[in-house]
Amino acid sequence: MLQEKNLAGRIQSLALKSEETVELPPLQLTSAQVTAEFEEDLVDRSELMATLERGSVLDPVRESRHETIFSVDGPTKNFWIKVLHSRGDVSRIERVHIIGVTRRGSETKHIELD
Amino acid sequence: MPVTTRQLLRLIHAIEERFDLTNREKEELLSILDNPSEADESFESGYFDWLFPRTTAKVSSSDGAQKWDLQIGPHAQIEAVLDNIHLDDLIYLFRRFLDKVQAQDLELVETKYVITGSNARQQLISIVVFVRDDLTARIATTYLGRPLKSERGGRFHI
Repeated sequence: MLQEKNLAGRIQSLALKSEETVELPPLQLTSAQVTAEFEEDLVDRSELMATLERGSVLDPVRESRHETIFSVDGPTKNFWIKVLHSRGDVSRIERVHIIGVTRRGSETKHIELD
Repeated sequence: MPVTTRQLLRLIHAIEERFDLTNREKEELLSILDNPSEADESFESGYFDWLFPRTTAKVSSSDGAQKWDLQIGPHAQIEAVLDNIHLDDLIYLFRRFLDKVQAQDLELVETKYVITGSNARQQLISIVVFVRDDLTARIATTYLGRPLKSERGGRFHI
């Protein structure tokens, strides 16, 4: 019982999951709510925040096996992100985590080694 | 894709082997893995990310002409643990990629590369790497097999 209580307390934010394109309403996030897998990517945080502030379209990343990584275009950059929402309320976005950043429109290249 | 029992066991083993965690911390982490749906949620939400801080490996092509910093973040490291992909496998695959770039005189540009090939144990692995002009390459995700070719579906609003 104690363990269940602890679990409920620990994992409060859930990752948004979808195989389909998701339309997000305008989001007002603070800097602290935008984190990154590689901290150098935080230099582009303001562009991502401005993009999400206008409302945005998230495309599931087909190159990933997970349904939790989405691609979103800013004016100059393309972001791969995870969106974390509160448990029980998918509309309450708590954090956006940047997985990677490239130039907008840059092509994904597939390389077979074998 | 939900985690399998075998994948969970790999992560449990990785946690049990950690000398930098107290027994109490280990117990707390392992208790999350007792429940498969809770375990799924924890992976997806990045709960375990702090256990796997970013690591960087210097990787060169065989002829030494290409020298890169290969950065592997928490997300990709956890995926690797779950799929029994070793850090050496990722380095090996990226080195083979650099060798191919050299051999075929390909121009590396700042974009995403999906690299698929076998490791030394003949497992087929894919890595998605963000290649940058500053000679760093960041692995965003890794998994066994090839990328899935799925069609985009509909659209929904939040």
